Amino acid sequence: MPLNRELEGKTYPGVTYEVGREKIREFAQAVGETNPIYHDAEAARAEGHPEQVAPLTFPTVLHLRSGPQVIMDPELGLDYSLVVHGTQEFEYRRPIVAGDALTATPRIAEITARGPHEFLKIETTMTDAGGEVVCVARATLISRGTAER
Amino acid sequence: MARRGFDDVAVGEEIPERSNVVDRAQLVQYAGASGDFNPIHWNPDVAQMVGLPGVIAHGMFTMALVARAVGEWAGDPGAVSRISVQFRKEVRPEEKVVAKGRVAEKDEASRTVRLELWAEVERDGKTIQPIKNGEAIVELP
Repeated sequence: MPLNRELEGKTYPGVTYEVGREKIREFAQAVGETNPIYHDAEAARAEGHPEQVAPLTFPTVLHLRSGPQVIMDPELGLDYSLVVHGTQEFEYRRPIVAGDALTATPRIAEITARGPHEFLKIETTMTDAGGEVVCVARATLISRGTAER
Repeated sequence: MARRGFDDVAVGEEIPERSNVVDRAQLVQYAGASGDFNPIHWNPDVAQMVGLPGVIAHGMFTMALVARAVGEWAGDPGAVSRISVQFRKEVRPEEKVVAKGRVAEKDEASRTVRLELWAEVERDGKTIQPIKNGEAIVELP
């Protein structure tokens, strides 16, 4: 069953996530980041950052919380067992740091087909408490074999 | 950590590679830290049911290694304004993943550098690229 193209452009409710020091540490340990700026606020300040810094792929933690409402949207018709992650991009306006309260707002940017597969592009904009954009994440999910023949 | 200067970078030079031998405990740890509990990363029965040889690493776990190579090369993750990857092949436990990159372009006006990024795994005597066509834009002082 092909995806519902009418959902192109649909924006979903924002999900707010508070970035904590221990969560950053836990994530940094899991991905093998040993730079002290990811583990200690003082070390981060010594390098000119306002607080303990989150590793570059940390926004994953946010879009894994905001994304389910998109992929489980009954109107979209996505069968998650057919999905593989095709591409991922992060665009940063500033580093994410401990103490940030970020709101991740996902939007279906595009749905296209190539051969038997469909490509669902989800763009998630992450804004801080002041309303400034901190990071934009763009993911392509490949829905295998669901294109119209 | 020393920050890399724009003038110290030459087009064509490779960035120091970063490698990791994937084990199942790392995948469980990453599942917990990221919140991605898709069972294909920790439950071999589910992985085989969907046609995989066994559990596979999270694509984002491999991207994190590539991002680490970029951040450590720049000396400051705040210098990175964009990073992107394509996931092309799965990574299996016990495999050694090597994240690599090369300076593709320098822009004097904006003092930005474009890196090409990829990741390699040796499998059955061949080099495969679980991550291909990756790219980062880094602003250097």
